[in-house]
Amino acid sequence: MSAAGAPRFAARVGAITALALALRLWGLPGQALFADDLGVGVSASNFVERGHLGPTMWHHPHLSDALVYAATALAGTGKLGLVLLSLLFGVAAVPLLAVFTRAVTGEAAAALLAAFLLAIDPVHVDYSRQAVKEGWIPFFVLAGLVLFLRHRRTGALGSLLGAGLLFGAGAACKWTVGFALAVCVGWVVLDALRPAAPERARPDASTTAVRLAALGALPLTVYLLSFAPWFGRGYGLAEFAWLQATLAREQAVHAGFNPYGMLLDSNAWVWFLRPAFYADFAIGAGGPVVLMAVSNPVTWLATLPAMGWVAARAWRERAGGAPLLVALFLAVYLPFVVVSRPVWLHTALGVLPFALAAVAWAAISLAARLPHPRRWLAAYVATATLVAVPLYPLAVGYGLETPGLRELVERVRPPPELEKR
Amino acid sequence: MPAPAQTLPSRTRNFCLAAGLVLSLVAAAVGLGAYGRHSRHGCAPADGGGAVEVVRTGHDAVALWRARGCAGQPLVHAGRFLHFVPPEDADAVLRDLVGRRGAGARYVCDRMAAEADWRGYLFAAVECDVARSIEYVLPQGELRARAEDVGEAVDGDGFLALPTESFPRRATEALRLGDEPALVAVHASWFERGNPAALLEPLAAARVRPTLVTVVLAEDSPDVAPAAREAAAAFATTLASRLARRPAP
Repeated sequence: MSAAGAPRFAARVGAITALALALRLWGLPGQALFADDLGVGVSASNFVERGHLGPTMWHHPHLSDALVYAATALAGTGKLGLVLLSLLFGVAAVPLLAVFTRAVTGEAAAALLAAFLLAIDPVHVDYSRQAVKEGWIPFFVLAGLVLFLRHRRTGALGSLLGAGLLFGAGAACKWTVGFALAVCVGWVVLDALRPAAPERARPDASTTAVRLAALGALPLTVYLLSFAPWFGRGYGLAEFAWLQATLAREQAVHAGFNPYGMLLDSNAWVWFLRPAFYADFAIGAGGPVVLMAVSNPVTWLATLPAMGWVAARAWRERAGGAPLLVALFLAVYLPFVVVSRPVWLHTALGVLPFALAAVAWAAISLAARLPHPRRWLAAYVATATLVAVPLYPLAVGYGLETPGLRELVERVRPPPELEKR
Repeated sequence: MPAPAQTLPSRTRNFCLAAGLVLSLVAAAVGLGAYGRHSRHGCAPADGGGAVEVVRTGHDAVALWRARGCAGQPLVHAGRFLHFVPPEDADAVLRDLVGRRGAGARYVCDRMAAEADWRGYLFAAVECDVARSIEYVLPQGELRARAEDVGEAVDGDGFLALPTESFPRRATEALRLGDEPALVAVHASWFERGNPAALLEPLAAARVRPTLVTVVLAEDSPDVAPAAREAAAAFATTLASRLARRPAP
């Protein structure tokens, strides 16, 4: 991008980010607390003040508990305080996706389109308004990747260390972040092993060493330190290893905390083949509130063809951003496809940035081959937006009050035998 | 065209930074291990210096352990039952944590200890961080029944894993005291089916003496017969006498 184009790009990203903030904030203050919101607040205090894990999501790492505890110190323990970080990380993921997509594709238009699609994505909007940490994952993954790509471009060690810190912090909230980190480590190793070529220098041993330390030792240090309150109960390193094995065993078989979850979409392979949904329920002052996250079919169902197009490009070029994008998508998505335990739609947020980057890149590139590319692109964006409009009230808990949507919400009502749980 | 080679100072800087990051990881691991050890506290001796205490109920046992400052210890419990049933309002107590910023640990422990009874006094001990792990010693024959209940196998060392979410628990049939001083509880239910000598000999001869042996008479437990309580009291007297004859380490 030319230096002259940078301010215009930044302004457009800023406008999309403002839209993302508005969509995520609208009607949020004062909305009913969901059981998960409250559970996250309890778990935060339980971990920070007592070193105990749970009651919510004891089988995940716990830096998120410390961060939520800090956020509630600033913003109180009401709805806004509990969801503050999800809101901030959710909004911040939008400009980060723009920067990441531009770095990978070299296309400012693809970057803006990907950011816009994330800004209006109903699933991402939904989980930017809940205290659970699903919406944090795109932030940590994208921030780590953006800094790592910057380090590769400029050699800046600060960016490398920042990437290690963010990947570590992300993995200390949820292991999913480790998949993207593993891709970066693999890339460093591949770089070190590949013979030098006229267009590609081979990094020297000291560069490889510092990259591996920043992406290995540094995230591990952050991860270890995040368990400090738990060590304060008298535990040692051998018991820490036992704990990690116990968390992994539960992760492998976890089936949720509510049998209603088994009635929702719980297979990762459906995410990009048909519209999928997840629902949360609460009773507010004005009656029931239902958050119903439904994937936008115009973007989600375009993912696999778009990723196929990116993969073909990666095969042809064997360099540039396409192989990285394919590797990231596969590394994050495939583990959820092959695992036998139920995997719900919100887990898809870890892979969604790569899906949207591919969709945007493919859309921009394919439209460029057609007559009137702007019209084709405008038609695609308009279609995605129009479909997102009715999905928005569902995602933010106003589906029951919205004409024409109530019937849809009623269809996800838990059966009577599960309603009291 | 290949990029220019790194200059010597930048190579040195890279290697130093890499080494620093690895050392930071090692320091974090060592530091956290030391922090954990520092958080363990053996039970303070009573005024009379006795290493064996007799209490009437599990509730009293938790109160005793708290009063003696026992913290972060492995707890070895001999008896027929697991005593790990949370009080009915345990979830509500945890929910109250959010509104008691900074005082949560004390609050939860006070509430759980106050409600501890024969069904859940070890649960309360964990909530109060008296114990960081529990090893149940079950009378002969009961381990297999437990294993069948939970659908797990006893491992080659004779242990049955009984973790409760992230808290380490396991069961066995032989009292084994390791190198770390443990808190030992002997529940009167042991004496309904268990052999007193199976506890007495290892406790009296332990190379590393327990920080405290608590004999729980289980007067509030409907599952323990009076004869077992009498046997438990007699066991406490015998053990105290054996330990008193042995010089303190």
